[in-house]
Amino acid sequence: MSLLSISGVAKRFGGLLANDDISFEVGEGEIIGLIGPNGAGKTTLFSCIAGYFPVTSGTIVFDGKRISGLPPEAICRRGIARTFQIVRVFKEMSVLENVMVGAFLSTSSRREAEAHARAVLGRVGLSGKAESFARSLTVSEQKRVQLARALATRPRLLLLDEVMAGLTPQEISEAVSLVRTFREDGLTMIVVEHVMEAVMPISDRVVVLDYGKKIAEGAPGEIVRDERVIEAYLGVKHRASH
Amino acid sequence: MKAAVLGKRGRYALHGAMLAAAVAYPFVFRKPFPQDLAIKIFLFGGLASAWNVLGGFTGQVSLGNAIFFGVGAYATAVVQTHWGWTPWVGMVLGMGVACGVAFVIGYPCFRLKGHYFAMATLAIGEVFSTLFMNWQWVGGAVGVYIPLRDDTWKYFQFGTTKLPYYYVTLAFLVLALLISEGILRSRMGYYFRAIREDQDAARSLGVSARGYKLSAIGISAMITSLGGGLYAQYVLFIDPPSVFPMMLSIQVVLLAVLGGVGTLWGPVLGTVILIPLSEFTRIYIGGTGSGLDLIAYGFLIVLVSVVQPRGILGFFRKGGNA
Repeated sequence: MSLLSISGVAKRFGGLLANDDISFEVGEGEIIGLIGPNGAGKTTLFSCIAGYFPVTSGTIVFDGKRISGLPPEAICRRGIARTFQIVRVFKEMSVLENVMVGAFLSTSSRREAEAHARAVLGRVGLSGKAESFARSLTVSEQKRVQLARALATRPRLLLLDEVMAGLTPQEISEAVSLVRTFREDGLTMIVVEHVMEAVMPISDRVVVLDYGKKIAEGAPGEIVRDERVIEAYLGVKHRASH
Repeated sequence: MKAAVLGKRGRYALHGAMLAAAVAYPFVFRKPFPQDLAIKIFLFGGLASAWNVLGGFTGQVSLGNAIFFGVGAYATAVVQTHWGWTPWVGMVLGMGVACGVAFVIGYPCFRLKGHYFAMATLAIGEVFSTLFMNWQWVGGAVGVYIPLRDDTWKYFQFGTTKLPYYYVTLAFLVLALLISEGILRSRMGYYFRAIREDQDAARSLGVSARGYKLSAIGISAMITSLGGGLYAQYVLFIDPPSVFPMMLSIQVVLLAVLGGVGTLWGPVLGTVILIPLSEFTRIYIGGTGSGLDLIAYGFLIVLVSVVQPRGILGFFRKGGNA
């Protein structure tokens, strides 16, 4: 049985249909790459899964229970954590405190939350920055804070929204190997990127969105050869040859 | 993290010394004026700390905390005049009512963010003032005179000495600080601050923003209401302009912001500086009728906000919460 099942999800903002009848399944332990050009509706779909936007139609089922319609905090308690495309750390709190907010989901003890948060910070390589204020970190470090904070909630499904955008090639390869370690723990992930090079090596399957619709789904190797995907990224052939 | 300038033991020693000094103070300063000044500092320090729980920790700037002060003052006074109960029961009752009022205000208003929440609370504060002005059962515009008695703990009235008021308001301030410290050290405090920093991000980590904001306003309202009850017993006469003034709502914000918003000691520091300043400027230059005292008061606030927007505590710390 799949862990997350998205069926016929549509999201309309006034006259704009940002997500149009999107369906796919995510199996336990899988890493799904969600790609598409700018404005394809990737972040909107994330926001629907995480409960920030109510879906206009369709259902989202997680672990056998319908979650569409629940508020974000309830969805997080069910085991879905997310990062944000535009970094949203708690700036005036220390890195450790940022991660402790996530860790407090499973314990009310400050000591336990701190121990768990420190362990998670170790995993993402931020132990040395634990006492720094989040605002004083670089963007790439802040992205790791977001990741640590989400991991600290002990999720079953992690939604990563462009965690690699804006990173240097060196940082991207670090991020890729980090994501691979999460998979070894059995964490299921949906990874949004519009940088194809970042998402291909880590994904088991790739879902491609364009203008709000799902245009392709398959193994990374198939996706890069898919006519419609190439078209979406590079434009229609005869136009491109002009 | 805590900016631990002192060690844990050092902090305990410092707090113990401060408390000892506060306990000894009225035996050194026996005149009514310095004792009255200290009582005002304790009372306002507690009120500013109460505001800080909501406005500082949780980032929900309320410009209507006078509502809770007034509710507490009226509950304390009215149980005596109408039913002859002791004011202590009135204070507890007032805290319950204030908490209920806070939920009724918070539930719809927490849909508003930033300035809009502040504006809504400001408006509701004025509504309460007008409401009590026209509510004859609680005395309307005439206000409520609490029946005078000989010195008594049961009815908490002391005409011959200020000491009981002094120690009770001191206990009130200590209570407000202990509650604040307890919040900061608990999961609730982390959640409050996360909501202040970024509500949507906090929700993505499982924090029920509305539930915690309601807790914050409820706690803030109960402490403020207790302060209102103590005030009523201290002055023994209340009317809408004296317990529902917009100036009070704004003053508690100024005290907390000047000292260091969102910190444990900021509101107390702000109070220790501003209340004596306002009293002394009123005494020495207020009589001229020129409003010079308010100008001096305002000048200091502008100065601090320009030089150190984090408040006076910001001079001592590299920022953050402690």
